[in-house]
Parts: sequence; C-alpha cells; structure tokens
Amino acid sequence: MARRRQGAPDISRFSGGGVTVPSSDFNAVNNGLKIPYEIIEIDLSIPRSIALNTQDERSLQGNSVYIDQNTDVGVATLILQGNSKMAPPGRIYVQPGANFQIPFTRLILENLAQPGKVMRIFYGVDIDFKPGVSAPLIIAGVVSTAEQGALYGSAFSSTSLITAGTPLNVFLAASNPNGFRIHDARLGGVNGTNTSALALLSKASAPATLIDGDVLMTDDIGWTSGAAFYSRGKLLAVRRVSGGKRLDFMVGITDTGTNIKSALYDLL
Amino acid sequence: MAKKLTIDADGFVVVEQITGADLPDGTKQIDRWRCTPDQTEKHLPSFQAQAEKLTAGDVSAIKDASSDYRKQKGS
Repeated sequence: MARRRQGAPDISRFSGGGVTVPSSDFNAVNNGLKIPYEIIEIDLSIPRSIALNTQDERSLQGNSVYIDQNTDVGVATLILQGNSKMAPPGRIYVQPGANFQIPFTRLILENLAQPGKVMRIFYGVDIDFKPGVSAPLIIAGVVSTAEQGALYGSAFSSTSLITAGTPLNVFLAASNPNGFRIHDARLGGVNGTNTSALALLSKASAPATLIDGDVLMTDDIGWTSGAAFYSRGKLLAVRRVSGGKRLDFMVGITDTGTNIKSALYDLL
Repeated sequence: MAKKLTIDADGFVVVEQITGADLPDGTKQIDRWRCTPDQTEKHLPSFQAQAEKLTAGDVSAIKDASSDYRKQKGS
C-alpha cells in the first residue's frame, strides 16, 4: 500500500480524483459489455398509425430519450408504455432536439409520411441528455423595446353620447379571467348644463354610480365655452387590475356633444 | 344591426358599432375596438353579450386569425 505523504489529503476512500462514483457501470462499458445508450433509427418515408394498425412497436426499455438534431430527422408521435401495456398514458410529439425522462418498456411510434426523413432516437437509463447549441445564437430582426415593459394589444375609442348613470362598457368581466393592464385612458364630457364628473371604473358587475367600483381615473379639469360645459380626465399611471372585473366609463351629466372616451389596454 | 368587422393593413382586427343618431357635428356615434387578433378573441364574450352581435362568420374569422397570430408569436 502506498504511503501517504504527511499532510496530504486522504483520497483513498474516493473512487478516483475525489469525485463520486458515476451511476453508469463504466467497468462494463470499458469491457465492451455495455454501451451507455442505444440508438434506433426508423424510416419516416411511410406513414404509421395506430388506427390503421401500421404503428411501429418495439420492446425497448429505458427512462431517458433524446431525438437527434441532424437535418435528416423528422417529426413523430411517441407513446411510451410500461410493463402492463396499459392504455397509453400520453402521446408525445417529438421533433429534433426533444429529450425527456419517462420510464418505458415498450415504444410505439406514429408518423405522417416524410420522404427522406428518419426518426433517430437515443435512449438509455438515467441519462440526462442535454442537447448542445452548435451554432451561435443570433437574434434576427428588430428588437423592440417598450415603455413599462409591455405593448398594448387593445385600443378602445368611442364618440358615443353617454347618459348619466349608464356605463359605457369597454369589456365585460367574462372577457377578463386573468386580469388586465391599462396603459392609457382619456375621457371627455360635453353638455349644456354644468361641468360633469367623469370616471373610469372597474368592477365585477355594472357600476351604478361614479364611485361604484375601483375608480381608475376621474376628470381633472373642466371649463365652459359659450353655452357648453367641458370636462376632461386622463389616466395618471399604468394600472394592473385583477381578473373578474369589467371596465366602464361613466359621466355625471348626460353628454350632448362630440367627445372621446379612449383606453389602451391588454387583457391578460 | 350587426357589428362591422374589418382587418386593417397592420393585421389588427377592428370592430365597430354605431350607437346612436348622428352627433351635432354630423359624425357618427361609434364605439370602436382595434385589437390584435388574440386580444379580439378575448373580447368575444363581451361583444356577443352586447345588443349588436358579430355574425357567426365574423366570430370564425376572428378565431382563425387569433390562432394564426398565436402561432406566429410562438405562444
């Protein structure tokens, strides 16, 4: 037994170099008795279907699968079964680069006809396949940037004359299961009576008053011109509102003249 | 009266409905939604609950456009 130099670390209890023993049986691999993974290649030029009893079935076992990324590899649907040959637990659509860990003892493959293509499957036990990136990543086209980290996808505008106490609906709660983000909103009111209170409201049901629900914005200025009374308001900051709520404009005095209500938002 | 549906040059879906008599300046009272196709699809429960409806063909067109849009975005 080699003597250890005084002060040197004792590595004799490790398999070598101080790292733990790998899970694969490398002695068997080195002796030519095992290989770390198997490869099967299936010609995809002819179609296969369980419904037509033309599927490719193979008794293989493993729990790790990787699909080769070469250009001759097509796409297919895999069904991986266990010992009991129970009903297929799921159909896995695979394309080049797919990899997953699912125990199986039987492999069934369906595919559409893809002349010139094959399905090359690497499989084995306890192999954590990690496909590498062989080419530099290139971001093509224009990379857009957006204020607040998001663009809006919906724009509502209206020139409808709103009756006092009757909401102008932008969307109902049924259209908002996940919440919405409102980026901008403006509203105006015109009438011949007085400057009108205005509000943008969010609530599960239809609002009945100017303060019925979450008030996202109100009028912030009013003035008169001749016999007309004007009011204006705008959203002061981007807001995110929870799901299950609708969005409505309301006015305190019925509109009689041209004005605009608008909102820029996203249903999430 | 049905809602009017168009898809503009930017690929946005525009839904319009005339809501009343002409305004004093002669223009129409209109509610207008201009949305990406997927956002338009999310509006469908609202649109179809309103007095003016989209036609079955319009609804189908919105769903098709939304499906294509999501594929393009990879979502």
